[in-house]
Amino acid sequence: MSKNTLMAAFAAFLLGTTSLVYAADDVTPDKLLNADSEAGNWLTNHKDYSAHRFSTLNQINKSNVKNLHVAWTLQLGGIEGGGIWSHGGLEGTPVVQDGYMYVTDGWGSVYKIDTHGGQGKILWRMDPKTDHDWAGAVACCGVDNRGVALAGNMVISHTLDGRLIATNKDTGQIAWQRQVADPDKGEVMTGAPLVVKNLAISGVAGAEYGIRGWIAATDLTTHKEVWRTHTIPAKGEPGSETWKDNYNAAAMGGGSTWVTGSYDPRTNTLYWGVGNPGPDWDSEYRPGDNLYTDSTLALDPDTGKIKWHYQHTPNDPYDYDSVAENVLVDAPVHGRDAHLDLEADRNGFAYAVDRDTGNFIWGLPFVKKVTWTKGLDPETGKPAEYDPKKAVQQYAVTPSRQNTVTMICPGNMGGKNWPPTAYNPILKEWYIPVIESCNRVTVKPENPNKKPHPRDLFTGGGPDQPVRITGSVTAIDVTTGKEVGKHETPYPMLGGLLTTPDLVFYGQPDGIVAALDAKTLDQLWSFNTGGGVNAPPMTFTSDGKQYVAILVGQGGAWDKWFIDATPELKKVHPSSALYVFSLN
Amino acid sequence: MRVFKTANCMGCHKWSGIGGGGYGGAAANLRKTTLSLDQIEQTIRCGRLGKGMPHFQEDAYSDGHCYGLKKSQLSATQMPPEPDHPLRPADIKAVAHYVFEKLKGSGDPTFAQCQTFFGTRTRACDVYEDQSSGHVQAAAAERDQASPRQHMKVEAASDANAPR
Ligand code: HEC
Repeated sequence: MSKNTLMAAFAAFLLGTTSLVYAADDVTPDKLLNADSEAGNWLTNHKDYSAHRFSTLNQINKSNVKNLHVAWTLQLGGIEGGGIWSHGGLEGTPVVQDGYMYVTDGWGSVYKIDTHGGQGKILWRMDPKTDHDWAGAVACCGVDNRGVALAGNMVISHTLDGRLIATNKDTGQIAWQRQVADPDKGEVMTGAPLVVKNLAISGVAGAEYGIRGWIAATDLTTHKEVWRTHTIPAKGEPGSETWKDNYNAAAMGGGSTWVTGSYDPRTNTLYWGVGNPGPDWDSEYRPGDNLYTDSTLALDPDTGKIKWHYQHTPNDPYDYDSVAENVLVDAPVHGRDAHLDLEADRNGFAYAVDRDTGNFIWGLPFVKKVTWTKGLDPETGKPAEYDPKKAVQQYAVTPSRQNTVTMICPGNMGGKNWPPTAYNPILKEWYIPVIESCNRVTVKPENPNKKPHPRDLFTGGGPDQPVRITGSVTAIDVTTGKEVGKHETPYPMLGGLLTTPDLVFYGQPDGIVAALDAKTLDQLWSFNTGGGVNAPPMTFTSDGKQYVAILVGQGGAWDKWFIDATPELKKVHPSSALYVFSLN
Repeated sequence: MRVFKTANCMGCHKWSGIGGGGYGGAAANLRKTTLSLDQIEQTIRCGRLGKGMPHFQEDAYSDGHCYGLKKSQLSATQMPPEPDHPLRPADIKAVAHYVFEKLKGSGDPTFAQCQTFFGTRTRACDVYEDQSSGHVQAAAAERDQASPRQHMKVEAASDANAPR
């Protein structure tokens, strides 16, 4: 019995109860609700339930960030390939509690690292023995795992082959696990779980393989599934009327949920993004708006019931999914207090909706170039060309069976992909990691009479990369919905952002990690890690001292599908490392 | 088979060589290829002009031995992609033989072929046979002994938004 379980057992004995009793360093539901009050910790994937990725730590600040240097590094594993992938990569956000850090590699190994004493020491590694060939063959976009959740004295994580695993925080032993997703159907898992109350909430990937997406909640005490909300409604459910074909396209309708959601305790609402419809580029295959693809869902976390939805790209012919994190912000908009849900969509537009009602508040393009639509309807936020009476939408530029080869901007990887945004509540500025992109889509119609085998791609075409792609960090004033700054970068933003009171941190796929002035977006510091960065930076304290940490290891989709748009990155080799920075 | 795995041919053509469409453009079905052994070898060495098939010989376009062309005569769109890792001549021969002897003309992929490729410790092959069949069950039992808990069944809750 570990020290913690012993203590918990003793406490339970004293109280004469076996109900939930926690040891001092257990991560209770209360701790997660108040994650922001523990400035030196980073207790959940997006830092807090609002997904701000904002830290109040300011030992490292505008005046001294130029002195930031490597404090220590660690080499991790998980670099091996599997399925259609020649290597794994790192996309995780480290989680830190009281100086102990938990990170994952692409195949889902969890590492506990002691950061005390100014160095990193691996205390244990939990290797889930992921089935590489089973899962790697149906992972559309890399061997990825975006990190862990903490709950009680357990570390909760996912594996690419579809498991939810609880590992004892002290010993590194697997306490229990269950299968949540089924790779036989093309389902895999890459996101970090979200723990809300006594539930671990999981999302799924696989919309390129003909899945019908879902979000599922597992009870952490009984280890049983409590609810499963499908993102494509079944026949007879509200929304099923938006699938107008007569060959059940909805059954393979897509709607993945592979980015961790957010939670508002004030209204007990869970917010989760939903991915693209399948087949990706053959929109005529699936006439109708295709709910709830490309939508934000607001859900009751106790039951999984959908409270409202907001769809960004109805009948999407571009692969402009909306899996992105929803950022929950309270701020005045044009002088009136508002409860905002912010989402930076793959379609190149940033949206603010009222998170209590799902009503559109503002929207604007955050990329330099949008060609697929003329713009958003100022009342509804729908694309200007959207016609609810049409079964197959015609936007300004629409890949289709008639128009089989088209350039689209942003490209299908999106103006922003999964890499997370960051929100600075002091400046009321929201920072978006941007892929400034166009690419070319070729439509190859799918045949409803010849459905693909399980585990086969189901995309209705494919993209290629005739033009160079760059990036930017783009800042938006949430009180006006206006862009207030753009720091351009030579490569797309594939890792995501962190903000502190006066700084913004990011990493580039060519290995550069950099800090910007949060107000002016001027670059104040940079360091070349010598690997490819496609993971978000985070910050924490250990022994009272502030550190910035970031995983370095090229992985994800870019390398296989989009590399021709950034030819220099072909020279970046796979790696698997953790970099931790500090002042002197 | 070793080279087919390590050179990541399967990244585009799948383990079975069946290829197929989708995200990165369609890779040829090697099971249905009509090419001779020499032509297969040439394709692997030289790639395909203007297509997604990489040239696995490092200096394929140095002296004109591939299609009589040199790098300087090829536009960026014609030039076959660089491979992740170029192959040695012996490996190119070996993988060409593998394609010619094991893949060409071999019909639909089977559970047994899949197991020969991957071994028994993975579920990657289950979809090739009816789940109730003896083969799949025997394979599952062997795996479960090797790594209990690695392959469990999904026990999903019922649909949260189902009409009642
Ligand atoms: C990056 C993706 C990719 C990789 C990796 C790849 N191929 Fe190909 N291959 C293709 C594509 C695409 C074609 C079809 C080209 C065309 O349309 O003519 C093709 C065609 C072929 C052909 C010609 C088949 C025919 O009947 O015309 C052979 C043989 C072949 N590949 C063998 C291999 C072998 C062996 C490997 C590993 C050493 C390999 N390929 C790796 C994409 C790939």
